[in-house]
Amino acid sequence: MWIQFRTSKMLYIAGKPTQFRAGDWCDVGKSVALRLIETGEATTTDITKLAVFTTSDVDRGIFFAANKDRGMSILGRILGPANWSTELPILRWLKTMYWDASTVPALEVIPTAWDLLDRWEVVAPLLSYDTLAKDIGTPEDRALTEALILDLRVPVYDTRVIFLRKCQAIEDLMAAWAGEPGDRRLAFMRALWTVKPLILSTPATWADRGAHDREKWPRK
Amino acid sequence: MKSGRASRGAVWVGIGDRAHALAVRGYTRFRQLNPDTPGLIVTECARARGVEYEVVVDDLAGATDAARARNAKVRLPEFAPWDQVLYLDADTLVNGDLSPCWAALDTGWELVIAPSTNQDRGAFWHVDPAEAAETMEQLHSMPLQLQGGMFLYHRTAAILDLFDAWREEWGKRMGEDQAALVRALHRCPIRTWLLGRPFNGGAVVAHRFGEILRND
Repeated sequence: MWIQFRTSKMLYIAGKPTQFRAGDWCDVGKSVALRLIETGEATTTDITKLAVFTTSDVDRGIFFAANKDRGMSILGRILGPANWSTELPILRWLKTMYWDASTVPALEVIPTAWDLLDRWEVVAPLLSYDTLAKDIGTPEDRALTEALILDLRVPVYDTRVIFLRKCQAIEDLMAAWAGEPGDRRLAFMRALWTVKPLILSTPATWADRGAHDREKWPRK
Repeated sequence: MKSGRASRGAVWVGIGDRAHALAVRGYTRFRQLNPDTPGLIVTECARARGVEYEVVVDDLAGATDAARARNAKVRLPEFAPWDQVLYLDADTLVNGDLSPCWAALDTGWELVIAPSTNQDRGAFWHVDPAEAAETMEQLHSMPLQLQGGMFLYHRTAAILDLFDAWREEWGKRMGEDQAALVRALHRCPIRTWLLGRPFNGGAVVAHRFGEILRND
């Protein structure tokens, strides 16, 4: 069960003492979560209180790229019928969350992402802080990508959760991405390089709340 | 989109004897590897030693060398006369080919920069806690922290706006510059291409964090 700490707190995670700061998230057992929530040391996300959608909001929506049923089990309670789709076009709303629900994003960032799309054309989380384009895909994917972007020692995006503004640049980006073969993450890098939209990169935890704990920490 | 004929140069900031010596070391190495790309060092008093170009910035007298160095960094477009600029902290050392970075600028990216290795719970660890909290409150979420010790930019109107915002944000506290950069970037969207760690703290550009403060 995911909780957010309201104060600094040390917990043993997988047998190791782990220090959390106020605002940090952690996936803990239900009994621990309930105890911390009861003592006021942590809270959890009530999705009904998130300003993800309003009842009359038809300008924002989720395009389920995959795993729609799982996605609906998470956000279905607050989605009106006009707020989601699995059918093309992807950019049917002014602001779209493109979501492969095989991953659960940090739900509390969704309202922030909508706001960011007022200034940015695309908001996308990194896949990781260690994985670079040279580390993923097939040799053919990488060769195709390197021929365009020239150097594969660059971070890649977690293309399972992307926030998109409906505009010409993003129409072009999505068309370019759809036209690129192979690994979807490297294909996205090629599409980005070609179109060069205003992209805001966000932490990996935006697409996968547990990403931070799987990195190689601590760092120097 | 600019052609490959854009003028290019590299800038180091070396305020104080130690930082200046390291900047000269970085400048010398860079010029060995890139003899056709000019460079300059921004410093606080005239003392060019083997450096072709030097810019003296003597404001913020009385402030720490670190604060004066950051003050110079957030004002780079005032000093760097080129269309495309590579900025390097004094404690960095270029060891590899930066042509993919320049190519990114040539093809239309405006800012080329690497994320910090410290993100999420580790983000802004070196920033004053009050400023870190203020940054997250202002942005409504944890942003991606960028490593401002090495970056390239193309001098566009948007980039000049970004530097104006960066200078303003940094001037609020005159502490570290990274949180201020993130706040500025959120105010002024820029076409940004990200680099991996090899370009800041790795094989292409070594970054010896803290070297300016060490007495070795």
